[in-house]
Amino acid sequence: MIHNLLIALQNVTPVPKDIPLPLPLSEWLLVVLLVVSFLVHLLFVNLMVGGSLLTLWSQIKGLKNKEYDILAHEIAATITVNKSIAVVMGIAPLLSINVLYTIYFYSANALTGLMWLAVIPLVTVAFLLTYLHKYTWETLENHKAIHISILAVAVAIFLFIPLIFLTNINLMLFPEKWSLVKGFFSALTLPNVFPRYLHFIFASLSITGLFLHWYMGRKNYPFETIFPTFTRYELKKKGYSLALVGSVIQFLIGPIVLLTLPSKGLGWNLVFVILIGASIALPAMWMMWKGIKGDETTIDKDFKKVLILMTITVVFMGSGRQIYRSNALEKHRELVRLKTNEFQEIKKIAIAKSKEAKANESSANLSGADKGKAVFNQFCAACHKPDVKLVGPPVKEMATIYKGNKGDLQKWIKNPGKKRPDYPQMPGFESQLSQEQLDQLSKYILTIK
Amino acid sequence: MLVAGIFGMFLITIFTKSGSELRLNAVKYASKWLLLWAPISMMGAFIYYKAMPDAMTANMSTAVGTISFSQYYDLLKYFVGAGVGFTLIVGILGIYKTKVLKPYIVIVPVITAIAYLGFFERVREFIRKPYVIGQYMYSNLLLEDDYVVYKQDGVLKHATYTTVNEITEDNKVEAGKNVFVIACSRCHTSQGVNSVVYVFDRMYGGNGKPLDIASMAAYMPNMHSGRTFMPEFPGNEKEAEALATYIKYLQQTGDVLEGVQEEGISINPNNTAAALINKNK
Repeated sequence: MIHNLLIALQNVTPVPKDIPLPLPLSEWLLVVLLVVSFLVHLLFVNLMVGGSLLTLWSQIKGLKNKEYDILAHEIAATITVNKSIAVVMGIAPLLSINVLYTIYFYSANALTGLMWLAVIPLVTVAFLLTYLHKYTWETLENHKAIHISILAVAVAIFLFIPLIFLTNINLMLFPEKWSLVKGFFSALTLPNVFPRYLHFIFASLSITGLFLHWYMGRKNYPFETIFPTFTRYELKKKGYSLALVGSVIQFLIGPIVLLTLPSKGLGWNLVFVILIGASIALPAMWMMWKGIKGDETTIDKDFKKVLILMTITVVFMGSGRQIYRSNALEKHRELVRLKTNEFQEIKKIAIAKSKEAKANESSANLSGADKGKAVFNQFCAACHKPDVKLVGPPVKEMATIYKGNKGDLQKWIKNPGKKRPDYPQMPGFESQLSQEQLDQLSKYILTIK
Repeated sequence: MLVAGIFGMFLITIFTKSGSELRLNAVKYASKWLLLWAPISMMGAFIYYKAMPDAMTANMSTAVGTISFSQYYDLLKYFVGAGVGFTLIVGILGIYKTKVLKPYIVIVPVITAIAYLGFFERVREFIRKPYVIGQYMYSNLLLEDDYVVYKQDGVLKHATYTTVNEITEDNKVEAGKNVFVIACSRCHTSQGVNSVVYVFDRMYGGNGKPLDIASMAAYMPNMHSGRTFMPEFPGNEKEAEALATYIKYLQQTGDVLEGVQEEGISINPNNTAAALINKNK
């Protein structure tokens, strides 16, 4: 029974042939580019999503406490900047994954078609909304409900777009599921999409917490003139708390992400890298905890160390993601290589055959009129028949019109005008036919019987 | 640069006070900018136009719109002329009669300059045809090199995704549908914009008469000779006939082809992992 199931599985796994071209760079370099550039992109996406969530929360809280409204205003100013960097930094990983995993990425994109394309209008709308929100702070001062709603819509879109990306990046790993998927929503329900999504959201909050700590502590930031009651220390502490809580939750979601990963890419290499990454985060979390428990003088003490450790963790996690991808697709890529080579062999034989056929054809000695007929069949027969109108007028009519007037007939073929209102425009053949072919063709047309 | 200059000037005339020092200076700067770039842009357009390979210049009439546009062959030149010309006039006005320039005057060259840009974009997109990667991949995403196999065996046999890989008397419509998806659907819809039914009907007179399967099937293998922007039909004769049958079916029933994001895919049994492994035992 298990054997039959295996066969059934094999039968639903497509093996497309790849484009038989070498990669433009060595594979390892493209992989490094993909991992590094993606992490940079993701950092700013995290700040954009986390920042907008934090702004929304803070602005709602600001309805009662004006101080939070100011905080919301300050964070809102960073969203659009981080968003612009996120978009620009998204290009390199997008191109890298397209080049490295062409058939996988394109297949997933095609299978989720409309929703994948919807990323563009959704992103556009969300971005414009964040600008609108940022620049109407004073105008909508007395219409807070409207002002907050603008941001809420942007946040809702920001929360949805990562689901589209995650669905596709997940779907591309499982060619055996491609024939079972019917559109975006069915691809969304594949295991692992939602755990990864939650992982992403809490990473966003965690990283935004660290960002808040840094942003509020900058020396050239005129904190005291902006906030009447909040102190730098208070907000740094809030930033640390958010980062710490986010990280603790990551430790709960992380194992779920790992366990819901389909087993096919789950090797010891992956588990090893993920565990090292997670263990490096532990001392960072301890330092944050100490910072929160300490006082104003000690809160900055380990901040740089925390950043360095967290960066290392993120690099390990990003590498883990690539290791899983590489593990998961290894076997299938082998099949694709086999298929691609097989097709190249078929092609070689077909080319030899067609060359042979062509050689036989040209060795047959055609008379002048026969050559003209061959030209006619290739270039004209699609629209002209000898006796009746097809697209254009019948050949016999041409023969009558241009009787003894080879020159005008050839001129017309090269650059046709339009004489008959109920016929479509004929395309010109000046660039396709040589003078020799034109002579053969006009001879054939004018002598047709 | 030209569009940036003229659009910038448009914004200046909207957002600065008429007659103010700032306005006068800014408009003068923008004018100088326009006068600097207009001739360069003109030259660029000319070089671009000349540099296009001959076969592609022959495609220009279709690039501009449809094949019936061929008599408007020169339209692009007029657009370039108008775009650059208007901007030049505004540039000269801006220097000598700075105060004359109001938003409603500047909007005219803004529109023509953007039209000029859009026109060139359209042309640039179109002159690649029939290729998407010149001399390598056709706009139906099939490789030119691979055609020899498809013509010999048919596209369906080698397709990764198809519900039919062997054409019989009974499955022509279904087979034609698959051929359509593989060979045509990158550019043609079944019933919507640039639909395959519409283009055939237009070619045969545009009167909605029932399409003739034999004529369409005979037309396909040679269509690229007359319609140079079309890739060569990749399949064999049987597939051309099946495709023609499907096109007529589309015309007669008004049936709509759904994309894979709705219907999903069916794998060609020739191209499953199992088939490949069995073959290479």
